[in-house]
Amino acid sequence: MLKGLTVLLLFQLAGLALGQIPGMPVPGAILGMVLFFGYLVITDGGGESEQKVGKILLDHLPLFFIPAGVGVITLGAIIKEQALPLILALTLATLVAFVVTALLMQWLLKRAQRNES
Amino acid sequence: MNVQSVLQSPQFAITLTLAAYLLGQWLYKRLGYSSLVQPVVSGIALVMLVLWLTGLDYHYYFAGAGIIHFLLGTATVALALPLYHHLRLIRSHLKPLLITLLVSGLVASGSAVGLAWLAGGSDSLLRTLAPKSITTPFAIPVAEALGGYPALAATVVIATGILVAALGTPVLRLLRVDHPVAQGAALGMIGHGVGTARAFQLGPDVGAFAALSMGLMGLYTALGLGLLGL
Repeated sequence: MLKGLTVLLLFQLAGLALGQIPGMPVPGAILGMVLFFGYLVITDGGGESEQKVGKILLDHLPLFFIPAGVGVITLGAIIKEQALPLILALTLATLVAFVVTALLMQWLLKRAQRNES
Repeated sequence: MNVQSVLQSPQFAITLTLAAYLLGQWLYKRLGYSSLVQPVVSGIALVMLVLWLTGLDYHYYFAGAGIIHFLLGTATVALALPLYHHLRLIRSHLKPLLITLLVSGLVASGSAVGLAWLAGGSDSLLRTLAPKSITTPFAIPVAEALGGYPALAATVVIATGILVAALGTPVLRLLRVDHPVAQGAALGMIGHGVGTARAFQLGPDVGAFAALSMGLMGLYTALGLGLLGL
C-alpha cells in the first residue's frame, strides 16, 4: 500500500515539476496523470500496490471535492452581483453542452456500428 | 478551554469532512440513491452547515482540511488506472470520441462564456467560466492563468459537476442515449470528476469512459485556453 502511494505521489510531484516550466499550458495534476498513464503502459499495468491505492482513492472521489466545494460560502457578494450570467452559464450552458455531447457521441457510435455491419 | 483553537485545528476539519462524507453516503443509500442527495452535494452542504453553526471561518477550515484537498491531486493521477484498464474499449471508439471531444470542448466553454457575456457578466467572470467543465485541479490554475477568480472557478466547476450528476441520467433517458460509451462521454466531458463518480455507479465501463473523457477534456480545454491566452 505504502509503495503504491509513494508511486502515485512521485507522479503527482513529477507533474507539478513539469507544470512549472514557463509557458507550459497544461497544469501539473493532469501532467501527472499523463505520466502515470505512460508508466502503466510501459510496465504493463504497474504493481498491485498502485492498483490498490488507486482504487481506494477513486472509490471515494467525491470526498476530495468537499474542501474546495465548501468555498462557495465565501463568494456571496460576487455571486449576488453576477447572479444572472452565473446562473445562465451554470444551468443553460451546462445543459446545452451535455445534450450536444451525448447526442453527438451516440450518433457517431451508431453510425460506426452501421458501417461495420 | 480554547474553543477556537479546537475548531481551527486540522483534527476538526479532517474529522468533519470525513464524517460529513460518510453521513452523506449513508443518506444517499437510505434515500434510494436519489441524484438529489449525491454524496458530494450532501457532504458539502453538511460541512457548510457546521461552519455556519460554529462560526468557523472557511479559510481555517480549508487550511485544516488541506490533506484531503491535496489528495484530490493524487486521485487525479490515479485516474490513469481506469484509462489503462479500458484501453481496448477506448481504442475501438477513438474516432467518435475525438470528434465529440473537439465539438464538446468548444460548446462547453463557448456556451458558458457566450451566455454570461450576453447577460452582462464581468470580464473576470467570463474568464472564470471558460474552464467550467474541466476537473477542479485543472480548472483552478487555468482560471488563475486567464485572470478569473480561482475560488469561484472551483465552485462553478463543482456546481456544474453536481448539476450533471443530478440531472445527467434523467436527461440521457429523455434523449434515449443508451450506449454506455456515449453516457460515459457526456457525464465525464461535461461533469468532470463529479460526473465521473456518478458514471461509475452506472457501471464500470461507463465510469471508465467518463474518466477518459474527463481527462481528455481537461487536457484539451487547458491546452486550448492556455494557448489562446485570451
